[in-house]
Amino acid sequence: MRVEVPVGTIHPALIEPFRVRFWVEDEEVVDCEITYNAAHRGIEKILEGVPVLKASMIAEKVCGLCSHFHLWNSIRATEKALGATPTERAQYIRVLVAELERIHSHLFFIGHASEVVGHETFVYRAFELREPLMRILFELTGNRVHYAVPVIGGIRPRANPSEETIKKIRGYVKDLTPKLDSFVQRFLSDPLVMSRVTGSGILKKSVAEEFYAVGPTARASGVNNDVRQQMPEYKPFDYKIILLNDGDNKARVTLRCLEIYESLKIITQVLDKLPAGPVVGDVKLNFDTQFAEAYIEAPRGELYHTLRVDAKGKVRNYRIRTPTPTNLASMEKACVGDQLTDAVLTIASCDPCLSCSNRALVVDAESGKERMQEFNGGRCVK
Amino acid sequence: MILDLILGSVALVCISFAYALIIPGIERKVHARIQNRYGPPLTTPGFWNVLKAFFKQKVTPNSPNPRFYYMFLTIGLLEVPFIVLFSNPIWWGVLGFGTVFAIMGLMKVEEVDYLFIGSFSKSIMSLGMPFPDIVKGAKPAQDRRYFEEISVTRALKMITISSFPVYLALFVPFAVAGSLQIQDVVNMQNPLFSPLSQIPLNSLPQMLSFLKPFAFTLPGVICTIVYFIGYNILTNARPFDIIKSKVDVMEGPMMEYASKWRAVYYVFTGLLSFTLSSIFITIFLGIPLALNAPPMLLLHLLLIPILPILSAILRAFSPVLTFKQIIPISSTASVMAFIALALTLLKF
Repeated sequence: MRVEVPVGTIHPALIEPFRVRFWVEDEEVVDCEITYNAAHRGIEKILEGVPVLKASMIAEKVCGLCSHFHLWNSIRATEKALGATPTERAQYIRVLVAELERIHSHLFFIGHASEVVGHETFVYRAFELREPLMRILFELTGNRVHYAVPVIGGIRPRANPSEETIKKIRGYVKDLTPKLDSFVQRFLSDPLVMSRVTGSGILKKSVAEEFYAVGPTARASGVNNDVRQQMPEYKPFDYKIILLNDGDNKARVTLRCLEIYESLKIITQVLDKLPAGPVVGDVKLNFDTQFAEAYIEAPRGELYHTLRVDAKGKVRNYRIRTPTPTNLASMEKACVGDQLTDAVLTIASCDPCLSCSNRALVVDAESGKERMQEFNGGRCVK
Repeated sequence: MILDLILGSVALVCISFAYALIIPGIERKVHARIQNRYGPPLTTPGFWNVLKAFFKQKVTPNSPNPRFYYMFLTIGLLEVPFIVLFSNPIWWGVLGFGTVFAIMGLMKVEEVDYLFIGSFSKSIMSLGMPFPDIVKGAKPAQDRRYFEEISVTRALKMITISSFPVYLALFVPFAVAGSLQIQDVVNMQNPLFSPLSQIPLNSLPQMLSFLKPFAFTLPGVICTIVYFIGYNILTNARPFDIIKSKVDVMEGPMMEYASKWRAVYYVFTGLLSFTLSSIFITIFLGIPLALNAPPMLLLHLLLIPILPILSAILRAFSPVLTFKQIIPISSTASVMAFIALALTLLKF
């Protein structure tokens, strides 16, 4: 008999407020529906009319886990609009913080995935690996979250690493590699954990492309869409885009594990090649700009910011598109055929971030009128 | 004689309850140490937690009949001590209660109890929003199912598929003894408890020299492994806690127990761990919880934490298993138990 099992909006397996409706036959999921926007934050509305210098600080608050990516991309869009260019050293330090944040986000994901699988020890192991990284970020930026590093034309001078800080980061990278080897090896060779993640939540490449899945979710299905390939900031560095073809939960977890190594490679290169010079350049603020947009590869996938600055230097029409909506939509399809318990893991395996995503706009195609998405409108659709 | 029986039973129940309040603390401590944590103090999860829950504000459960919902937990709590009593020398001679069937019957009642508990729980956590579902594009709600109903289905599967090897393993020592009486199984391993024995019951070294535990034989080792799997299944411990898997059905049938009933549930789980450990030590090691033999009693109590500690270790290194994994494990355990039985019948 086909019955509905509603999970959320309040549920211990969901760390953020969204609702999943599973239709199951016995234990097998035959259909799924995901709805979000139960906790609307309205950041885009808040950003409307804010002075451009303050806007990026608000944009950073979109997410705690990838705050640097939101801030950096906001600054990139603003710099594009204003015609400002950051200094070379600042570019390198932005990349450094971004890759450190990517590692901490991926380790957080592995911890959360282990929790959803029900393996508490791996949760603690993942967080043990993450903790020294948080201290390094604190050392480098002065904060464990919301580092506030990029500013228009460069970075905040307090985040300019001293020789001692660089030494500490090198020490962390050296220390993390063997620990990560050991952790990844144990995680991927654990027969019980692998029996849960292998073959469940399969997202085919064609479905990933159809639903515009992005980031590790898409790359685990063989879709090559890493935005870093198009970002000039990443041109000086040699790293590999990890692509896997299985598209199951195991692939999505493994891919993130492997991406941590690539991030470590980039961090080492940043430290080796870090140019001397100022971290903030001279910026001329030319207001009344055209629309500017910027794409960046956040830990969860492609992140998009767009804005316009009016003649008074205030931000207009700020829009943010995060990776989660399309990834969640893909997961609606990926979890069909799973056992109910595995289906929750499948949803979690795209690392959904609802604090990022609860901001969608509804545009009336005929009148062109816009309204902020309210609780009853957050359906994930293609 | 009857006074001895009553006083002995009261003492055994008191010992069981006292130990039941410590076992969760032992498990949590082991679990925490594996995860590089200190963990809570030994008495906190079992004793102080129960005391705290007992004085929490009373909450009426979402249940079609709260009295029935409470009653089935009470039945569970009351029947589990009888498993300890029936496996004890003072009850061996009473109306044939000291048999493998009496123990298995009560264990089965405990398993079936979850079905009734789950049937009488209708948690609000399983519901959608308390107003019509008007999400754009959302499918209309129909045939919505409570988490507890899913848990009940899972509990039924566990009864029919997963716990079978446990009972088979429990039966093997009785096949070796050629009797259904617990007394005969214990006598086979430990002649001290024979009615004809002249050995004094106060010297531990002397007692141990006569001990020939069934668990140390080849079929015994196999049965011990199967029983250990069964211990985790019957106590709903990870990796076999699918009936209360947090990621989908949360606490399952027990979701609505709050305040003092939550305390009762904590005691019930501790008591179940104690009881299953006690049965193992009595039937597989031949060391009963004998009040008239203090060294044996002490040894029995010292050995009780073995299964909870092993279970805590397993739990620390296991995810929640779904039926995709549980069914093969259960089938393998059944085959192992059949092999042990065959080896026994072949006098291996």
